[in-house]
Amino acid sequence: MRRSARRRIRSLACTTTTRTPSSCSQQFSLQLDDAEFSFDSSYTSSSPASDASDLESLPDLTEDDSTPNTSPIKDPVTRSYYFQDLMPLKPISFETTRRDGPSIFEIPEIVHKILEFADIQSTVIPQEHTPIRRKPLSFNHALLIHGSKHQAELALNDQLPDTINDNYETTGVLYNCLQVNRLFKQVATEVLRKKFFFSDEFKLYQFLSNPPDIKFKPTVFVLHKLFQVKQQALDRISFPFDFSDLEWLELYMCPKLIPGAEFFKDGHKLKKLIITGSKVIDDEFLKMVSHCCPNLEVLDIRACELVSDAGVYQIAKRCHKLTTINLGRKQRGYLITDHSLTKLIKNNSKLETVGLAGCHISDKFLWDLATVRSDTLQRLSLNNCPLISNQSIPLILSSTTPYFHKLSVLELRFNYQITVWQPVIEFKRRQEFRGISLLLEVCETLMLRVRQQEMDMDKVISQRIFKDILDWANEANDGDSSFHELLSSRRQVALV
Amino acid sequence: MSNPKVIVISSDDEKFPVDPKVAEKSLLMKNMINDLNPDGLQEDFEIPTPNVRANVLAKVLEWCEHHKNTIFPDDDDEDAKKSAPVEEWDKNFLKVDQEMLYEIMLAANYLNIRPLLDAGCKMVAEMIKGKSPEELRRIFNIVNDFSPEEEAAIRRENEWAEDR
Repeated sequence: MRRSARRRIRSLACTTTTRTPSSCSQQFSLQLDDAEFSFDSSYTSSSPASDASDLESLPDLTEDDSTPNTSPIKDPVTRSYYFQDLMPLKPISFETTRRDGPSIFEIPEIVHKILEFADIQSTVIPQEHTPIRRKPLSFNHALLIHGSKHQAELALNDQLPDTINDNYETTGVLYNCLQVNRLFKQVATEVLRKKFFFSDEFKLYQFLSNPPDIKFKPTVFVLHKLFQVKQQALDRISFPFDFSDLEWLELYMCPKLIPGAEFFKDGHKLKKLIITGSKVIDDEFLKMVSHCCPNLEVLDIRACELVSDAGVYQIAKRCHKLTTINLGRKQRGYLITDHSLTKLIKNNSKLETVGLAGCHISDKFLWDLATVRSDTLQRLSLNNCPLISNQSIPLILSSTTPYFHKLSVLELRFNYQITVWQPVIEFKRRQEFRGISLLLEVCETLMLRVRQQEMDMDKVISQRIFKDILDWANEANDGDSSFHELLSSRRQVALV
Repeated sequence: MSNPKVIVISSDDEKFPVDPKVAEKSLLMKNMINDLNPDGLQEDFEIPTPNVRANVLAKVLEWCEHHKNTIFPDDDDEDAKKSAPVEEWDKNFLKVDQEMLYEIMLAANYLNIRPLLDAGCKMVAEMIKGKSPEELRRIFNIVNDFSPEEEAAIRRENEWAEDR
């Protein structure tokens, strides 16, 4: 390949009256004008060609084109040098379908755009999907939910058509682009440094043992299910990072990790903070977050069981843009109560999703929530909240109150203390009328209760309908003409 | 004259008279029109585009004509816009051979028609998916300027990023 490049230089030298091209680029470009048609077509070999047969007639090209699979190493300097010289020559115009000038893959701005889009289209950040509906707890449960045996089996085996499979396809788009050429590497690195995520401990250690020469400035930082990774590793990763652009920080089921202060130094851009199942996140941490990240919109600290009212109160005090808050937990629910949450819902007028599974909230709190946040609230999880009773949910949802008209998901699993379900069923039907199909998640015992009460309701309704029909049919003055009148009118018609 | 036109002239001297509204889809042309006619267009106004061939210019102006009433959100409207798929009409419009697509993109870049350039880039981005570095170089006619040692080093250093 070097030979062919040299040959080109030689041919170039001839056209420029034997001067070396590097010494007199200006004169060269002036002289070239329209005289050197053949030379021009030959150098465009490196720009995309639509018509291969057209190219075969050119001797220099066939050599270049014959070995496309082995990534020929050409001399880039010589080539780009030609381009720079020829670009200003405007009068050149060809009848062929090709134009000169740089290819789009030589313009950094365009390559950047392309790779950025490619990254958005294909890179999958490891993330737990919200299930469309939860998996049934048992076959009977599934049967109660879905009605038919077949559907119930499907649901149990996670095969209902609407469930999302989270199998990550590894695309490697950026990885491949890194190896294309220098410009692609530079641009791909630029895109790469904005997102940092791992869901594989081995890969993370690979990264740590041989850290690449990339100055990371992530907008996204996600570690997914790295159960064993230790704090030391996180400290080493984050040490050289610039976190001033960070918008999304997620440590999903990484129980041993706590992000240090460096993550939040410029925390005003942080919108999404998800740290689930952590054994180390505590109230002090939330206090720091509340000071640094006033623009937080999503806060999901499920199963972080060290967190108590004190930490949530700090968040409530300083974060007023929350749309999603999830404090759900299996243990130590008594640490989260009305004390902090009442303030939280008062200060956050955009709340759409509230997850309080296992928290010790009272009926009063639910009434507060209904009165202040009915206009925005769409999803509410109250699984296993031992202090709520018939005094809240059934009354709040009854037809006499205007609350929760936007609600589309309501979770009430394991709340055995709730016995009155009729208002909830009626609420579900009203929501359907509004065009919202409410997903009501309850456990097996409660589902049985719901179905029984539903049946009773339907019985009453059908009895009422039947009674109405009976009444109407037997009424003396029901607007119909009598049998005798009917006969006589028929006779008259027949006579005429 | 009642309705002055903008006459866009291609590199091969073909003239395309269009409504100012259509031409103004190009920020470059819009600025030129406004800067050189501070009191509004009084008569026909010629704009040469020495980098754009006639058949490419025709395509670009067809796009501008179609989108003359479309309002595009200003500048970096962040991820929502970036992750939006290419609109159906644009997709069909850009179903041309690769060479033409590249030229349209170059013209859009030169004329500063951001939504058109973005649509083109998204189309090319889709072509990148699932291709090895070799294949990318081949289909895009890109010259490899790495030495084999450099290539190996890049692969080694970025093993952690294989799934990116």
